[in-house]
Amino acid sequence: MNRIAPIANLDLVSIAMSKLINRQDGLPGLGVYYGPSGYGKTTTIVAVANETRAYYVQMRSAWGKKALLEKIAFEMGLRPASTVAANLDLICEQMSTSQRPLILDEADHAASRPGMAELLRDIYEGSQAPLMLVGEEMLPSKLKKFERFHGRVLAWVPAQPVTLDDAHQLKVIYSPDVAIADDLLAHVVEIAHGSVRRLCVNLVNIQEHAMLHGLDAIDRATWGNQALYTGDAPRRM
Amino acid sequence: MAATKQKRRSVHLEMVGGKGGRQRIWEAIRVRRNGFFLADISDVATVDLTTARTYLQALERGGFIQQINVTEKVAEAKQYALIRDNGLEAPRLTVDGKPVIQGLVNEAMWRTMRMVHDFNFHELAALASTTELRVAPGTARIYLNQLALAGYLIEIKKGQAKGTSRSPARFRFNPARNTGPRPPMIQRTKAVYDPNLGQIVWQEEPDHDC
Repeated sequence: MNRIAPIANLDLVSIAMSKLINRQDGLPGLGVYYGPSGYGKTTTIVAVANETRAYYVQMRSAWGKKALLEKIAFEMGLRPASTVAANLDLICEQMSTSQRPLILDEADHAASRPGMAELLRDIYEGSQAPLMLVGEEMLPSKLKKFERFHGRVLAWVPAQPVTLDDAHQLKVIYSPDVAIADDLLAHVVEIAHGSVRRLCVNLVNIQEHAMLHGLDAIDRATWGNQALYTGDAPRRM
Repeated sequence: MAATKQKRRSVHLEMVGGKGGRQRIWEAIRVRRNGFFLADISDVATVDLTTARTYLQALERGGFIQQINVTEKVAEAKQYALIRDNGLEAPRLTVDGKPVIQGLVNEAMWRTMRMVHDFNFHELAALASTTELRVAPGTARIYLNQLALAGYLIEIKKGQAKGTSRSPARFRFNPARNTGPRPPMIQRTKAVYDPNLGQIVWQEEPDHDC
């Protein structure tokens, strides 16, 4: 159980990040990773952040420029300066010298607040270090408004829906003691609607059910019509 | 590290305001990047001359600093300049100037637990492991237990040690205790030292009954 399943998303983002880090001179170093919630974005980002020793900051809706820069400075472990401009300089210096990437999660907040996208562009321009934004499905279209930002993105990475191949990898981790037949696995993938989170919840449910009833193997017929987690609110009877 | 056979001292004795000797040396160098002498650095950073010399040698071998004057006379002081700036953090190097990887495991775990909502030690070890760095579940378990004692973590489900439904404890990171990017250290005495605050945050209470 001690590992991360190497599902498709992890490979995609790792490749994008190494593209940003090892890019040729003159190429832009911005990356955007976007997708609906539950697609395993955060888990993927954790792996990438550990791989590259990236600075990770999760943005909040309440943050203005000053707060954002202070949080980034905090995450870098440097003593924040008193003004926005001085903080920007400090952060740029630290990023350009260490060349450690900066990952901003929930970057949608930057797109919906005036001046924030320009600030992110300043950080990138001042440091030329890799910067990756992570956000919801609509993030690319929100960023389109900021043409000068949009043009500097080297890698657009859409989070991929979970596949049957991924399910085989995740099965080993989340239900290791039960042989789940392919027809049941395919059904679980289908009702997950692409969400890794829902798939994992159901794999755990199936494992618990099988343990409770003393089953070593389980298929669609044995499972029958029992409820699986779909994320929908329950219907009235 | 210094080649002397001195016993390893615990971290908090070495640190002033959460900064170790090498960190103070590095900061002193960055301020005087265009030319500095060993004696100045040792003085400004309040680090022993031989300790400072060892680190400067490591930095030179690692390609971070370079001698810029030509020394002809005996005992003439070497002047160095910073040629590769690594940013805020002092490069962690062996005497030969090679990077030290010890301590990266704690850093990875600390980064991971601040990013993920809730976890047990198995999950933390899995999430913090990378292709280059493997985090053993046992390491994660000990680290989690100590951090929980020190109040960094909130236990959201108690662990079950016996019976058929054995399960490890689940934790959530306590956002009020996000003190900074450097991972708290577990010292030999099992005290927890937070380098972000520069202080010991948890210590075993002495047993007064015996």
